[in-house]
Amino acid sequence: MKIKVENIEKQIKGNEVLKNVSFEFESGKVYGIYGRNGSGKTMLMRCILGLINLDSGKIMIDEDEIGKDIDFPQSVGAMIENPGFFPYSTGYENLKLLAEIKNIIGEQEIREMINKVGLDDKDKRTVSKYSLGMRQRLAIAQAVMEKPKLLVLDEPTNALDEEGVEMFRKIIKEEVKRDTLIIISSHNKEDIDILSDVKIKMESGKIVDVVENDSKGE
Amino acid sequence: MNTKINKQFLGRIFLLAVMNVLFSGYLFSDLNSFKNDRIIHFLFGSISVECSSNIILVMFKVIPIILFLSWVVNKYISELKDNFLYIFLRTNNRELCLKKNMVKIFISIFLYELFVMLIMLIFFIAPRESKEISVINLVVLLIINTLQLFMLAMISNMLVLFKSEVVCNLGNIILTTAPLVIVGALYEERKQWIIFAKWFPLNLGNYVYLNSMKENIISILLMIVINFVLYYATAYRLKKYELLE
Repeated sequence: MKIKVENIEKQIKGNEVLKNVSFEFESGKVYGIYGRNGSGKTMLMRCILGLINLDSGKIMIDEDEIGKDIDFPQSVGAMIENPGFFPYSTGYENLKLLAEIKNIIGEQEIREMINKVGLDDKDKRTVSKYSLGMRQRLAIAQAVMEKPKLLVLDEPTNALDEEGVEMFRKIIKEEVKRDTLIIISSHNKEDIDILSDVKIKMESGKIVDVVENDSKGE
Repeated sequence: MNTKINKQFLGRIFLLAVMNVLFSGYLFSDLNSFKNDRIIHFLFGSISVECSSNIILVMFKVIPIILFLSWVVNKYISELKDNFLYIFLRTNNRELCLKKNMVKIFISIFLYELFVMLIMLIFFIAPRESKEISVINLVVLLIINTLQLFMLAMISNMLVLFKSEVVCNLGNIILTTAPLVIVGALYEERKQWIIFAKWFPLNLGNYVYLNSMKENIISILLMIVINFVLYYATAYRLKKYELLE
């Protein structure tokens, strides 16, 4: 998979949130986007996912243009900001409902994924009773469970404890081995340094620095 | 997304159907003097043109509908809205999400109207000496009620999706009561214009039902067209909708 971002611009309520951003992403690599709050990290991710309309420029996912040929990338798992789930269903029920849309995984895989992120697949509590950390784990599970070709994860280690962060890093390393294209954003520089093959710095809606990460942790 | 309706929602639909019949039954306590067709009209159709000028009767008629929209229809669309991200990215197609949600809503509405009809038949018609009813008229009324409530549901959906639940609830109150209140006002002040009331799209059937089959069919066709227009307007708006939060 290749993602080509070409000269994209976006304004929201008079503020330029993305300014002439161009970049190319390819499979089998982890791209870590970092920068201050309001630098445009989340907006860039939303554009790649097809969640917002561009004012100008285009984003190509292989041969297809987002917003023209396709509404969204064909095989994607995503986490953007606050995880939304059906509050009166359990964690397992939530993932089951989502898995039924594409119908490519079954009960076994769902339960394995829930346990992998450190939750209990037999937990009868509804998601409304989950802590933020638990919801974050469930969000990681829903993003990864169907083994998508593209993973877009915005601040994935927010609210995770040390064990949760370790779990997440382990999952990312496994996904890289599957040749997944992974884009993560974090204000936690340690995550970016440990996980990313390419580090992208954003500031005021622009990409200001791109560095191949030779010091990536193993 | 599947189109199955879970047990909790089925329970709500049934409860609201019972409430609808109870409210309507309360409104027209002197039902013994009515013929069967008239009872069906009041309990399953809507209030009469004459009764539309009484705001209390109007409220009794619309409250179950407002509750149905709020407790059933809006809940489906709210769940979709809260999970837009996870659902959209799996369907790869925004319109498909909407379509499946609309099917679920349509089935819920049909079940609701069917329950109301059955409860009315069992508790108000069956105990009577004469059980004669026009089955064709009953089926036509079921279709009209379903289409009309579906129209309200579509407008309600648009308001929840693109505005908020609060705006939606206010909208529902206005959309359900205004046509009936206008009919009542026309009846009181401008009787010669009342003939137009039967063509108000959201008049909750309070003039159409006992008229000719030809008018019923025109009414049904009109509502089908309006429903399609509402659907495509929502689909178009959804395609442009930006998930900023």
